Amino acid sequence: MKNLLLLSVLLSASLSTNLQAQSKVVSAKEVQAIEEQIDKELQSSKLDNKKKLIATTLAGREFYQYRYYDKSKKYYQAAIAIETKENKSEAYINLMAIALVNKDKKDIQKTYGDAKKYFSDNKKYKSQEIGYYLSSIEGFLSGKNKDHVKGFYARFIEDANLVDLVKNKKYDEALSVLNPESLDPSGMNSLEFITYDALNVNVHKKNVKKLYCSEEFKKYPDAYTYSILVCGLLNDYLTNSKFDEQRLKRAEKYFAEMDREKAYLLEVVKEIN
Amino acid sequence: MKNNLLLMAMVLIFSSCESQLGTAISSTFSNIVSGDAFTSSSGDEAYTKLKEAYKQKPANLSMNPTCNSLESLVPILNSDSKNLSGIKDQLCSCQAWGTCDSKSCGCEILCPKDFGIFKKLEKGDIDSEANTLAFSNSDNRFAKNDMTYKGYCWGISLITQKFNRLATFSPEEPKRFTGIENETNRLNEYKSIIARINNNEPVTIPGFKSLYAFSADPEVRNLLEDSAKEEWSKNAMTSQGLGMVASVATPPKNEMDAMFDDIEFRLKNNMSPSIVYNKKDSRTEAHVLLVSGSGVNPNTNERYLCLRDNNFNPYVSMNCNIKMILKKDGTVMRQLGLPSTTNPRLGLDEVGKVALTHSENTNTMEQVNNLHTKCSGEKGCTKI
Repeated sequence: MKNLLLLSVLLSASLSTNLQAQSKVVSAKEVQAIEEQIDKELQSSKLDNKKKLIATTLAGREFYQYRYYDKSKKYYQAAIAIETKENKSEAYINLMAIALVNKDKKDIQKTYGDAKKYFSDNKKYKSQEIGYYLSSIEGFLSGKNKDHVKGFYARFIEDANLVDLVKNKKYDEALSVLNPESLDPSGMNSLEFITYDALNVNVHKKNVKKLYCSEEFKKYPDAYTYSILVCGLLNDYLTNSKFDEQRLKRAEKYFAEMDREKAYLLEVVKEIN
Repeated sequence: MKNNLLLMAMVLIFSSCESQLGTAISSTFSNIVSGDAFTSSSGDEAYTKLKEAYKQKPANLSMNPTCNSLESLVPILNSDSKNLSGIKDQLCSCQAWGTCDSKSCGCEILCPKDFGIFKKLEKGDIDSEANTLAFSNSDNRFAKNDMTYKGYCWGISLITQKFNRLATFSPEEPKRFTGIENETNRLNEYKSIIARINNNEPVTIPGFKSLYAFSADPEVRNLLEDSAKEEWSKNAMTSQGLGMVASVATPPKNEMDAMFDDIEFRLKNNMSPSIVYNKKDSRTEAHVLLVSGSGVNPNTNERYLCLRDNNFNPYVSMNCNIKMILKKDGTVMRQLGLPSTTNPRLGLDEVGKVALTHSENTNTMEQVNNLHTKCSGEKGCTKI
């Protein structure tokens, strides 16, 4: 019984991390039937291109709402391929949104390039809002957006830029954009705090007198999560000038199996010694 | 028009779905013909239809506080109960998620496939600390450069709302995986819980007493922070999200009144909806939060909504301390605390655009469907 429970938990977690969860109210079987029918009718019906654009855009939107992102992408791409001068803004914007959901930087680059060209060729559809969106994506991709785009999309860009700086090993520069005195410990800042601590020790070595993660580390020393594991290693270094081997192995296992996206944090730590 | 084969196909396919959502999707596609398709979605259609049907529902189908069949009383009367209060305690409740069985209380009452399914949220204050995440949205890492609203408010609002509606905390049950030897399984379990909640599925969470306690555990908190960022992106970075955050046009007074009416309907039925708004004088200073209450100022006769602002800890929002006020001239103001406060983040701001978030109705309808399914399984109401 316990084995069954374990298997079920592991399977569902594995599915949840490898695939985007899809709505249960529209079954896969229904989706398939819907797709077949739409494709058939779009090919054979007497719909004019304007209505085909509306139909495919609507299909893209509905599939997005129910988290069938691959299907949504298919219909937004179909919308773009339809020969018409009608406004295709939604398809271009939401293809970028899908690339972001999939965390596919290559596809973000491609869809951004396509959108930029479309709005350059069709200036009447490039509203102020769309200009803001495109600037945001440009900042997200370029890593040079700190003072460029402000407002609602700003933190999303700043976070992406910070990760880029760390991944490109520009530790001094990354450290300079973080201001730990202004970080609110009750806010949504776990990644920022531990990134700051790791960069600070990497750059200033033993001169670091305070770890911002210490309080939580003392309270939850065995927690299996990036902020505590990295904090433990930083604490080892500051106390004993080397990492505890068991802790290092555990951290390596964690970043390899549970959170590959943040493995750059372990690199920052390993480069301290 | 009538030979629009696509429309017919859509109607046929979606009409065959058992869910009301399927029917709604078909009617959304039918708008292709009328040209209204870009103003609606299947979630909006489904919500509107269910709301109309719900308003027509006879009161006796909404609630029947106790079981009244003799059959259900016989076992109690035959028991050793020696006083009336003892008998009373054992009487079951015939209402949504009630304690009666499906023989003595109809399944349509026990597990309604409508907004009545949210009835179990009636207990406790929705905006209490227990029902709130242990971390806020507040962030001013780059404060020297930019003092505008920043963060992942949309993600935090949605996650809070979904946990409030779908999670059942069961502190008396032991945690399934404890200790270093079970850490991988434990983390996978937490990932699974969060993924299912994000997918609008009900989940029982053992070993924790509340959302606050669950999200205070650093293993959970870090996963939830990642999830809030992803949910923010899925909603804010769409064409629909962009349209909501980047326009400052306040809807006309009659539309605002209708929106307040609808929000009050949702509140009355234990739904705490998510809204998006921005500042009148700054189009990209937008914010997303949940509404926890409503009222009318007896002195001015102006309507207001009570806001759960995820930029602050829950105590700031309690007792309707943060309001969105609909003025008589149609302007909308956001008021935090006393208007005379000197803190620039507090005080009174004029609001530009206000709207329900674009995924509110789709999520609500999925939740009704999935909660109904769960309830039916538990109460023996599943059709064989």
